[in-house]
Amino acid sequence: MEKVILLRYGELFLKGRNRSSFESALIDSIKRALAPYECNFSRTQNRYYVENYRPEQERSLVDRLTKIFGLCSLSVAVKVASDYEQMYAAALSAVPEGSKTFCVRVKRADKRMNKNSMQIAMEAGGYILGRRQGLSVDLFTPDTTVNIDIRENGCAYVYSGKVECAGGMPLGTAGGGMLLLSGGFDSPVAGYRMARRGMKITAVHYHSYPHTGLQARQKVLDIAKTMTRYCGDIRLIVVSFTKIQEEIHRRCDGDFMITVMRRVMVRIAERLAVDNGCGALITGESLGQVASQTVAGITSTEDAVQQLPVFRPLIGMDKYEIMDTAAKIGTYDISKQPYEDCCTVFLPKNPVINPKLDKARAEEAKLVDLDAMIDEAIKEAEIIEYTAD
Amino acid sequence: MIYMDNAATTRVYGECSDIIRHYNEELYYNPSALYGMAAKAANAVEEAREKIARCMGCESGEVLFTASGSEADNIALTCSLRRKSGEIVISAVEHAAVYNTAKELESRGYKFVVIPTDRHGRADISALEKAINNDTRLVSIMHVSNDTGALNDIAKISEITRRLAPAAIIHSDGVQALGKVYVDVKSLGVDLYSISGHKVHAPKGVGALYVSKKVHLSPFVYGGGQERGVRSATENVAGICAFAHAASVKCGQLSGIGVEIRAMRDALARGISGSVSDVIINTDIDMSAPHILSIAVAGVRGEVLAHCLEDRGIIAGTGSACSARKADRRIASALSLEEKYAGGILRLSLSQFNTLQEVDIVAKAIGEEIEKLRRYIKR
Repeated sequence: MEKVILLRYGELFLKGRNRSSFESALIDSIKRALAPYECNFSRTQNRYYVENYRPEQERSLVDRLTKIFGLCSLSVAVKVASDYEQMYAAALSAVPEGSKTFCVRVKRADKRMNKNSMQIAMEAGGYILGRRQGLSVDLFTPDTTVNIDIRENGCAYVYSGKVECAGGMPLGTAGGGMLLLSGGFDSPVAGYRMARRGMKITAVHYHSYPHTGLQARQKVLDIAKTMTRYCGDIRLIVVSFTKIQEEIHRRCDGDFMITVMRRVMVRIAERLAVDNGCGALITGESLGQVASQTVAGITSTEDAVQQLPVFRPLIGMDKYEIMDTAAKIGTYDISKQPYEDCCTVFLPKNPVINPKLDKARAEEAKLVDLDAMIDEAIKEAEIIEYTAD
Repeated sequence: MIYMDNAATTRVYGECSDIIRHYNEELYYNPSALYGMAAKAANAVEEAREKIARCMGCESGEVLFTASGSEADNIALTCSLRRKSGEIVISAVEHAAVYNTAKELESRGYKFVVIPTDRHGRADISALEKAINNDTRLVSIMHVSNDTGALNDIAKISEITRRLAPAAIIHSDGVQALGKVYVDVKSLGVDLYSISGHKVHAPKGVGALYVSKKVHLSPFVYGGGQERGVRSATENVAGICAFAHAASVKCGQLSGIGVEIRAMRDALARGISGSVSDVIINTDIDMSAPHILSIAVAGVRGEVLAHCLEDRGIIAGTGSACSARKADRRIASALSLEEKYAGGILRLSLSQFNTLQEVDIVAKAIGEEIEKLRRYIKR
């Protein structure tokens, strides 16, 4: 019996006339994910199939497919001829040991069959009951639901269980976003969440060597590499923030250092976003999490952004929710390493919690050579391209 | 580039590289095999064992080769205990290889007793005397501190231990001592003593443990029975021979090059304390190994200072390289450093490849970088 992976997509169903462009982006993602494997990919109507793969690669294939945005679930099915005996035998095999109750659901696209869906389901159920001791039928809350999907091409797919996939929208269907990426837990999750809505992620990281170490920088590089598992290829732009940060320290009121720093960071990020074809900035801010993430703090930061929208997908999330997602996407273990980011190097003893916008603007205005410093930081930025394996 | 992180690792002697090549490309046979060339390799290992024994003042049958100093420490602590309970006594500044192994033993039911040190990192002998009792099963105090260079009076510690807990095993981590101070395990009175190759210009991946004849060790690695059945594995012939050569050279230089290294270290200490305010010299210049200088700088983070020095071509350490990745303030706390100094530890460690001219450059650079960095103190 040949095994097949059945792929299902979710929200694309809701799309109207432009659905084909979303589907084509999803198919691109799937084909890229399948590229390292020997297998065939095919589609019929609303379904995709991965066939003719090597059995020992099934686990790895499934793992890879579950990370594709736009797919909502998959099932590993057995493909048989739409012959009753073969379908029923496959249905029996699909009930795992230890299961106490089951039901059979049948979809019959091939109307040439001489029995209807209900009859086939009942016969398959009877077949299973007659051959497996201790099982009973439960149509409402069964331990196992066996699905028999009879297609028009003379084949049937028989499976039980579904593996949840990443969901969301296919990568690249929502344009590009510039993620302000640090070594903490939040920003990688913010990037993941926007990529899940179809955004192609480009990231900018600010480092302050020698005030921050090479390990802190490497940590962010490792995070960006890990993010490619879900987010696809990522361009990481590493910007040295040292001179600007020293200048802020020299000229600005200590309590406003973080506010001014963040204003300058979004200014640089916006310039890079425009240069890299991104239509939005993405930050990992979560309301009230730290002193700069108050409404007044966020207002003071956003004020420095000229034209692009700022997306803050974590704004209403708790730290634990964020950390759970970080663990799921594999960045948690990297983020938990203790190396300091540039945000914490010159952390004032009493950062202002509710900065007044006028004062924030006035403090930033003390940086007389700011435009030149931003130009220089962008010019000297290092660009690292990470390709999804 | 000026390299002053020799307590982390050292440049391998050119002769050692030649030895390694010889045993990797010519006499590469498995010492346990039965043919003649293999016997030559086995003889080379035994000759190396004799050389190492001479460096430690013991018999060759008391030397066990390991893959590292950390492994030697692990074997010493985990394979020597006969009873399932009792107390393990160590100092507060032991290397992570001893400290974390002792913590593991604590999880297995032993009581873990930590002896405080003075502000130079030397174990407090009177506290040790109070801590040792009939339940003491093992005492492990390092000979030379990797953090400050502090030299412990191991002979005195052994004498106290023997008097108060005659059955206790005495181990000393001598990784930073071999080739830097005179080592004679019999005079030190220890049962077990760990050393490492890459701290004395041999390659990484080889160490040794002195095991007194009266101590029985249970196996650490099971297998073909090499190294008296304690650490089975095909011998690292190339590494072992290179280690023996380097250790012999280093131990023969104590009164020559060793004195020169001490003079450079002392000049560095004078240079720094003369040019920078608010700096504590953690190292006790008179009671320490000659190669390590630890300082604590107020208001500057050691890591940042090290990065700034690196930009000027000077490589220095911030403490034990093996634990540099942990936000671990254990050492600063053991040295009773005030908060403003606690994050500012910088460790400079010298070798024969340094010069007095380099010492002047480094002292000056440290002064300048500290002055620059103090402008960015949190406010």
